[in-house]
Amino acid sequence: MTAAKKVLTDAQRGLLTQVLDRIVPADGGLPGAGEIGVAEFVEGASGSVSGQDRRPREEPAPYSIRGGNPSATRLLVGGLKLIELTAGSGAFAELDGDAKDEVLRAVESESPEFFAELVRLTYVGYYSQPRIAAALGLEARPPQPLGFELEQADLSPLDNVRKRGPVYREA
Amino acid sequence: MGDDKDIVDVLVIGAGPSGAAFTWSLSEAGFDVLCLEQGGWPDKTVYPQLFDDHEVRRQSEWHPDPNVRGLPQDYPINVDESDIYPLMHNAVGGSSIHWGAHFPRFHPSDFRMRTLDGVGEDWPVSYGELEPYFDLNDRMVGVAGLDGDTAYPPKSPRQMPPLPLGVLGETMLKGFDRLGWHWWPSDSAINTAAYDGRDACNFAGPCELGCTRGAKATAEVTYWPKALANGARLATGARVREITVDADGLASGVVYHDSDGSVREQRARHVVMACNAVGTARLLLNSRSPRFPDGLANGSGLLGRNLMMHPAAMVTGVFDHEIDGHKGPLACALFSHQFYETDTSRGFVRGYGFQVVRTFGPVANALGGVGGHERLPWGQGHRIAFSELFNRCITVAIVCDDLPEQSNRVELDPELTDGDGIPAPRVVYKTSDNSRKMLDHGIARARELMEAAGAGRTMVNPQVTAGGWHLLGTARMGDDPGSSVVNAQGRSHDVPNLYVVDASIFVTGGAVNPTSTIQALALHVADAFKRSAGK
Repeated sequence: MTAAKKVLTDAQRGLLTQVLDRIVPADGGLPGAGEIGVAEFVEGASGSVSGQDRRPREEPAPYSIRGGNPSATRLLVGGLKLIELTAGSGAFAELDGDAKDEVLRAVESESPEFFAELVRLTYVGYYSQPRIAAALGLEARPPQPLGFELEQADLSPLDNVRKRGPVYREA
Repeated sequence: MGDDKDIVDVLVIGAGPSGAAFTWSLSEAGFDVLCLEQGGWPDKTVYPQLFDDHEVRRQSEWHPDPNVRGLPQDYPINVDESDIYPLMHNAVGGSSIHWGAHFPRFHPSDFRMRTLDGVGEDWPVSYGELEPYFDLNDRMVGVAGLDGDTAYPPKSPRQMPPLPLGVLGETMLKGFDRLGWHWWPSDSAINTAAYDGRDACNFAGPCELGCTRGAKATAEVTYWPKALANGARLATGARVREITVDADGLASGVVYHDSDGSVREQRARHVVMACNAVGTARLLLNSRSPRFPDGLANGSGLLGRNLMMHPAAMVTGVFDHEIDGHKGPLACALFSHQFYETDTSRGFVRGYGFQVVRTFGPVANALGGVGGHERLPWGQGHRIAFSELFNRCITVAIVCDDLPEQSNRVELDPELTDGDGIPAPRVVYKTSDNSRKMLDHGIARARELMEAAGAGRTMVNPQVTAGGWHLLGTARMGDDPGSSVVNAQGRSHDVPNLYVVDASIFVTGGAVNPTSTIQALALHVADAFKRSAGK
């Protein structure tokens, strides 16, 4: 779907991974978002162009807010810098969990647009992974081509609806 | 500018549900019909349903909002002053590609609102006059449903048995039954058995991400194959810029951009608009000339006015048992018209419907669910919040009738353009007091319903912003040229060889999903066209 493009330095990517592990932390046997590589998804979503049913004109429409536009990359890089600044130089990795969360809450307050988008992308990247779906009790496969079984309910209560008669007006 | 020298008899703009039905009907009678569609043929081999990351794709290139999707065939819409964002899809099949295929008809009263309730206007056609076209359209698409619904006059037999309701439906029907309210399994344009060469549904779920099996009756698998077999032609990647007019004030054809972006001209004896109520208004407003300085077919000044989009609220119940809501067609479970018809003791005129919908997967659960509720918290509280809701929720949509108001409108944005530089639409829509009262009434009743069905708690989205699934009314039909854009046969009052067949011509909005009525109207207009041509 996407042509992933790297837009972060190794240091920025490392910081992003730590941040993601606070947004969706490991818990009860489920891994954290950073732990399973969601940083790559977030970076890719900020630096890639995706498209379906594309016409020969390859340029995205100028109003596009999809990944691939410079503002999305700027938002991500700028947000990571803000996290660094808020934590103090090089310190985010050294903070304990509560202190990291405190930093992120401060960043969320100061740059809500960045943080909301980061959380959105984290959830999308995390919960779309088949291993997470399986851990949640779902079949780790796409809906098609197998589909699902679906049972018909007992429709006998419709007799009560019929007995009450029409609910439309004649016109 | 390249020229297509041949003059086509009938030029249809837009290959969605209305353009497809109209084209098929004319092709059956041997007319020379060419349809121009700005999108392309959908490729079922890349539909998101086939991929693990289908929920990612819903957030990007398969988002129903063209402003989010931003594909080259889309056009932007300025929604800065709109309570509701228009949704659509640009491809052969049109917005039916994204469509949930819930397939109710308008009620008889929807066509007589002025007479019955003293608001809006009466249509120049009645339910009875449209009934043969509803029936024809049902046969063409194939409807799964259960005969005998008490919300409607008797209908022709449904083509297939209803979709299974599953745990989700069984849970909700008990709530309706306890309250003594109307409910019925949805009429669905989704096969429950092989029909007309198309497979039966296998209950995969996210119908809005394209149907790989052809079980959903999208226009490109129902009408288009038959129309093309009859000799109709369909050109994709053709974005119409304007309708041209001749010295007599008749439509003479169109100027369009082909798939390379080159500007071309196609001449025609008749031009038919089928671009939805935003696209049709935009294109006609863009077709200005010295003779028609306010846009084509706008002698009434009503072109683009009376936009209706069905204000909707969502109420989600949280249950203590698994729902399996991701199994089965998203929009087609059961519905209720208990509060559809006017009862002035409720404090508003007209009414609303309940549409019980299924759910998405875990990504959507984290982002607020199908009800568009608050995104779940991040951090230490995230897991608990996620687990409480995941596979435990049922959502009911409250879909409100939408009185036509001239202030709700489509106009041209002074700056915004699409990728070809064509001026883009600006939508202005404010939810009326009547609609707000209706939404609030529906929310209160939906909470009662959820409690009766056994929900432990409910969540409310008081109005869905990204909910403009139904685009109606911007070129209304009527007998009076001063108060309508087209006549009862879909023909422009001002330009006698210009027709509109999409939901722009709706006079009122009803409170149901409109595609069944859209296609019935398109078939009605097609028959009128054929009669006027002596066929």
